[in-house]
Amino acid sequence: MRVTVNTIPEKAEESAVISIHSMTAGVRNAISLLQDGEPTITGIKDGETYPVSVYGIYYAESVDDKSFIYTKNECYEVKYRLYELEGILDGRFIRISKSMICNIRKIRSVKNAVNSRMTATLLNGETIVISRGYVKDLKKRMGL
Amino acid sequence: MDKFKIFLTTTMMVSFLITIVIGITELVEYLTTGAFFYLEGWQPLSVLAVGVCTSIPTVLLLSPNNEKTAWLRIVLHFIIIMVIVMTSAYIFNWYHGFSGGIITFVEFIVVFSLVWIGNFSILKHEENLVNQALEKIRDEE
Repeated sequence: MRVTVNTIPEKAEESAVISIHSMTAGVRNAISLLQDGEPTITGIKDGETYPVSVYGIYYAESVDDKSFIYTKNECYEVKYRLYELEGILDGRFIRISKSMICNIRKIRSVKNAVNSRMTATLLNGETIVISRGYVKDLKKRMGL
Repeated sequence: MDKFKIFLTTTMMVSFLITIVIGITELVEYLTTGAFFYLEGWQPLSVLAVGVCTSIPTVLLLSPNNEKTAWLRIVLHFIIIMVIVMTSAYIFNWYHGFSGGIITFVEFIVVFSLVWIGNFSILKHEENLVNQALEKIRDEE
C-alpha cells in the first residue's frame, strides 16, 4: 500500500483518507488506531482495572480457565478467553502453544530446543517455549 | 502429516547414507586389496527396508513433546537403531567376519552422526532465518 503523509498547519484539522479494495483486519486496525489512538485492553490487578496498551503486551497465557496478559514487568488478568484474545489482538500476536499467544515484536531471539521446539527469549529477558506444532506458523508469519 | 514427513525424510536420508557408506567402504577395499563385492539383486531393497525400520522408532521416540524425557528417548533411540542396523547387516550379509562387523558398526556410527548433523544443520539454518526476520520487526528494547 502506498502511504502519503502531508504535514499541515496546526490550525487545520487532521484527517486520513484510506482507499482500499476491500476491508481487511489490518485496515480495521489501522482505522481503529487513527480514530481511537493506541488500542488498549482492560486488565485486572489486585482488584483494580487498568487499561493496558496492546502494543505493550508481551504474551497472553491461559491458566486454570483464566487468562492473563503479561507486559514488560506486570501481569494482569483479563476477562477474555485465549481464543477471544486471538480475535481481538492484531496480527503481531501469534499462538505458540495450546495455552499461549505471543507478541512476535517482543521476541529478542529464538533458539532450537529438543524435539524440534523453539525457545524464545523476550525483550524483558523472559523465556517462553514455542511448541513444535506452532513453529511452522511462526515461520509462515515471518514469511519463511 | 508432520510425522509422515519425518518418516519419509528419515527413510530417504538413512537409505541414501547407508548406500553411500557401503559404496565407499567397498570401493576402498577394492582399491586396496582388489577384493570385489558382489551385490545381490535384493540388497538395495534391504537398505531401503532398514531405512524404513529405523524411521519408525525415530517418529515414535523423537516426536513426543515431553522435554523431561527427551534425552532418555534420544539414548533409547540410538540403542534401538543400532540393534536394528547391526541385526539387519548380519541377516542381509552386509559384512563378513568379525572385522567386517566392527567396520559395519563404525559405518553405523558415521551414518547416525551424519543424519543428526544434517538435521541439526537444517534446524540451525531455520533458527538463523527466523532471527534475521525478527530483527526487521522487533520493537525497540
